[in-house]
Amino acid sequence: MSSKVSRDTLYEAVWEVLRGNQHKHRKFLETVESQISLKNYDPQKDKRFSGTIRLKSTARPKFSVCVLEDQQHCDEAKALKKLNENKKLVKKLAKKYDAFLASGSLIKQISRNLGPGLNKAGKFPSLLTHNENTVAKVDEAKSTKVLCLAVAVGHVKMTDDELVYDIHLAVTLLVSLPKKNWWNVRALCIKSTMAKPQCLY
Amino acid sequence: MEKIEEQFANLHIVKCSLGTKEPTYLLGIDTSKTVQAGKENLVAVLCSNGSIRIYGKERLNVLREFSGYPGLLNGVRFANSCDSVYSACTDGTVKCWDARVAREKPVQLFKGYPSNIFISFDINCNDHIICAGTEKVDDDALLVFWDARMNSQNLSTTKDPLGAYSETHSDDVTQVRFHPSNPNMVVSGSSDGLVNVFDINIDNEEDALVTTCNSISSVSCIGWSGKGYKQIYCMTHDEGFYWWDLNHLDTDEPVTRLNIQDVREVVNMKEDALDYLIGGLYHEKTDTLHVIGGTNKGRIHLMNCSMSGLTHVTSLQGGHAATVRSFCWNVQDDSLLTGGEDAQLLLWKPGAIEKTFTKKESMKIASSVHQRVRVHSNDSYKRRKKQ
Repeated sequence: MSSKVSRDTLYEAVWEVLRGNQHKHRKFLETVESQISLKNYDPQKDKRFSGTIRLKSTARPKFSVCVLEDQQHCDEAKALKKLNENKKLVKKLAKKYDAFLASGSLIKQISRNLGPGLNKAGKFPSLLTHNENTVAKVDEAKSTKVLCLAVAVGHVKMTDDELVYDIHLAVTLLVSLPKKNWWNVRALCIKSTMAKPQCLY
Repeated sequence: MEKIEEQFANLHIVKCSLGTKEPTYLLGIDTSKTVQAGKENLVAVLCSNGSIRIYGKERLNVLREFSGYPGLLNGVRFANSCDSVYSACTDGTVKCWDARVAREKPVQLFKGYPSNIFISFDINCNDHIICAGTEKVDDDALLVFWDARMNSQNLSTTKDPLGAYSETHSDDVTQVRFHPSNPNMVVSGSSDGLVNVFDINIDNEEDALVTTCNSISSVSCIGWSGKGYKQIYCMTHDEGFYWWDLNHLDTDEPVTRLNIQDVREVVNMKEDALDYLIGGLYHEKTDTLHVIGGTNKGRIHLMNCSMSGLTHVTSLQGGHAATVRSFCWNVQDDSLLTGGEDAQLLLWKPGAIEKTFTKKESMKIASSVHQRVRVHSNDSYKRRKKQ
């Protein structure tokens, strides 16, 4: 990426974004997103441009993660079944949290006993293995973003170094997907929610 | 018994499809499952211009073409018991043609619900049920089912769905694959990252859902593997690979066998590159799963899949000149068909080169492959001598 977008360009753009936000105080925390527009990419013929990216810093600090854990003596199947009896409760649960984590054994139960409520809400749990640090996994869940032409890479309260790192991660992955890489990129910008885009490429 | 790695390494191009007036990307390949005495075996190829081309397998000559115009076709499948070829269309239908007859109009039309845009489908192993996946429209991404059985009475009529699943995906359904031998099991994959397994014998959607696996990315390809086909593997659009074992749904063992976020970062290719994954290949006889990938210049890589990861085994080159998008391995004669963005359909066969080519372009391809084969052939010749 450094050959196409120099470190200086990236830092300058990030400073512009952060400064722009400091000038105008918003009542909410603005997200910083990277926007990519492609050229010579035919969605009919070319491979789908889609995926997820794991960023280093937590892009959305208010992201709530619900960790479903199995306890030794808890009959999780029964508990899930009871929850499933009231479809509204499942919907409420899905709405309450931004993401879910669950252990392998619990995930097995979910399809059977909780039903597809979480599937439809787009919040099916990610796997939490026993030897994985729960806190680290929660952080990972907070930092996992769905790739698309405009993807949230941070927020205005991050430091410029943190933003630069995450933007670099995002751009590297975004550009690696189309087969001609940079040749397929028409433009690349970053912007905070309310501001004008700052061009990187 | 020769391992698939050895068979793959011994492959060389025997036939290349003749250039057609309209160069298109070759996105999907399927071969007919029925062998008719005296009749040429057929190959159906999904082209990016929205058509399906039928080729003769031995000569790779275009026999006829079917179109979904103005809709776009997605997926291509031969029936298991006859030479009907199916494809799902963005116009909200699944179309069926008789691959042996040059008739533009489909012999059977399966109509979906209003505003359905089909982007994936499959037909089950006994040709009874067709299932197609839709793009997300408003809040719904559906799996629609039809009775695929055709009898002389209802030929040329349009069939309505048996029903649909609507609650288990929250984004475009990009893949549908029926179980190779159990007509009731089907797996679906979506851009929402979920891979859902259903037993369609069970009445309602909720109870029919056997399990949901999460790739956390966007699913591009799914397949069944393992003894009795109780495992599922999936590839994602950002080149991830995931492998799950349904045998462990009811045990204490984890269901996940392998979980790779980006294969390009972990597979050791030595000097070469791995730019993308194309698909998987499960070899029944040796109970091995292989993953096929490639480079943007057209090299094809075969990787072995085990619980410890993917290992590069061998590569094929001198064939394609651009991204390889589709392949089809024939278990009967160990031949491989590959299709790419260079508009070429290639037939690769094992063994020593017997014929010479008459076409100039093909000769160029043959000589570069021949050079490569010579390097290995001493070894394979010795092996054969020992036998």
